[in-house]
Amino acid sequence: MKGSMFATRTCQALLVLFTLLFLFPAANTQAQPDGEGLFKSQCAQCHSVGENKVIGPGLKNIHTRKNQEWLVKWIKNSQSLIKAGDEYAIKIYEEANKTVMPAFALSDEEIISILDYVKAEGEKAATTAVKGPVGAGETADAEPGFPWVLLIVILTLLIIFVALGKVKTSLERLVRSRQGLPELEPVTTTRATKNWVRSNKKLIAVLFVVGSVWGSIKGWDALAGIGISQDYAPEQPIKFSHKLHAGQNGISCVYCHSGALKSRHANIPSVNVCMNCHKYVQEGPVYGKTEIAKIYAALDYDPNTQQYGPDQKPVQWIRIHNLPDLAYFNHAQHYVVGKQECQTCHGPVQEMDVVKQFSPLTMGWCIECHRQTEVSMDGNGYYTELHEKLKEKYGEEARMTVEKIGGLECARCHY
Amino acid sequence: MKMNVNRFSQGLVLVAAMAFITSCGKDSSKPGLEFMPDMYRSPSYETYAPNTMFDDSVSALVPVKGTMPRDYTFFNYPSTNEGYEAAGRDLANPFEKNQLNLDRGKYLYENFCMQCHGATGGGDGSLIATGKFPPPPSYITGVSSRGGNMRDLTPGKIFHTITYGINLMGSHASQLDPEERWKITMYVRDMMAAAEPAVAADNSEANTGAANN
Repeated sequence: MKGSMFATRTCQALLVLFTLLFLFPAANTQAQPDGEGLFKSQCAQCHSVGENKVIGPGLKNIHTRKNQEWLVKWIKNSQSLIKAGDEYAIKIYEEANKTVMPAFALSDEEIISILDYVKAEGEKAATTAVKGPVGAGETADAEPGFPWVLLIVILTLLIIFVALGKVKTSLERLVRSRQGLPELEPVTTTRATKNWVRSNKKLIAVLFVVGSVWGSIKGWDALAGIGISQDYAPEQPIKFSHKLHAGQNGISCVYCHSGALKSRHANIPSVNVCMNCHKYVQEGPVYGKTEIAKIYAALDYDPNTQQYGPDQKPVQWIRIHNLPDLAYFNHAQHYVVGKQECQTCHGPVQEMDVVKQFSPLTMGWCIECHRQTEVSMDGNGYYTELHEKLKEKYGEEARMTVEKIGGLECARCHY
Repeated sequence: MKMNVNRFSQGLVLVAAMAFITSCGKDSSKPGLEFMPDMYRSPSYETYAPNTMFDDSVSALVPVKGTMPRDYTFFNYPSTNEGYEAAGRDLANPFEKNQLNLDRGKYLYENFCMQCHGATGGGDGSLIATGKFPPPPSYITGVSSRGGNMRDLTPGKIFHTITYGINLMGSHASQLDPEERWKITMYVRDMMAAAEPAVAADNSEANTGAANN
């Protein structure tokens, strides 16, 4: 008896607990499907929440174009509406050059949540548009300029120095006249300088030694750096960030530089490759629309109508890596055959906002790498015979570096 | 007093010397000095150098109209729905399905497709994960905008899509030659086929789950 009482109590408690645990959250999630998430996963491939066309028309203020009931029907199965002869459905089907909007297996609630999201985004855009120009002005001002503060500090110190000197001489003059001493003859600048040099011989000697050592180091560096453009990082006509594209977005190097797979050049991508993404992504996180607009300008492309015009111009990039014409270098040979990473020579490009020349590209640098890098000969049929010969020549245990297969021969690169 | 002024002037000279030394940094917006640049710079036109001989100032020319490069293969299916359906019907992968070709396809997929379509074709690549780009339909569970399930796409349809693009996917014909496109097609078909039993299991689970509710 006691046992059964206990059981009923437990059952009741559990029931309450279950109701609390499951009823409320369940009610919440069912009443509010995630409109934003659904839009981004289901609709954003073809529609924007703004006015611009992506594949299908922009959805801003869609609720004013047709009522909810019609929209739900259309989203669930657009083709059945067209076949049923709905006038508006046929009209937009014709406008989209008969591109079919696929049927979506979404519930009414889910569709309504998407429509609510689109409506809210449209209203949000209207309020931010007013604030737009202020934000743009703020970013324009934040430009690093001349170090004015430093200049002002130096000037103030100079003025104080000169003023103190004047005060000192006039005080001395005053003291001498009070004591009845004869006036000192005025000190000329040359005399003053001579006096200063005489009383600061040690400082001048130290400065001279430091200066000449520094001068020789700098001079040597400058001479040794002739023709070497290491760290050269010019600002490109379109400010393209490798850090953003290759680093954060994880786009492979050869996606754009596909020439590295087959050719001497790791080509600069043609702008149609940019458009693979930037047909959709029309605004960047750093420069907004200005830099992407330059791609559109080069293609004479109008993002609103999605039409390419006839007035297309090549983009004039600034070349960073300029191997002298007297040396031959082949990207495919190093990247595909030699299996080198791009970063071996180009450094961590995926972390660079502005690309710089990472390596010196000198002959000594090439040779050094050819001496160090081992060729993986195992399992490569091309090298089977050569590998045997090399083992005979250098011994079984020798490291088979690029040097050993002729990587230091003059005519390998100079011809 | 005299001592102090002297110290002050000495300090000033030192600061000036330091400022002079540190101000001589290398300007990274300039390539630096070149000695005898004619040994460095080619008198012939380089691939990407501007060219004064042509109106559009580009040295890298496209083949003359009406000509074609050696070994050029035609793809006689237009970029339309009809062309897509026809390619899907007529074309089979000309490359033998073997590990070598699949590995090549995998390598190319990982470099040219994966950032959007994801490592397993789920439409969840690195670029999609940033939220900057809408996801493409999953190869396994998605529905094609041109009808049918993604996993039922024929090789010809996949090849047609890589060649011309569809919706937000652009043409990848300039980055991938036909051979590479066929190898990617092979790898993608392989991914779809490998996932099919799993999908079937998922669907039956979902169905029983729904029945229980």
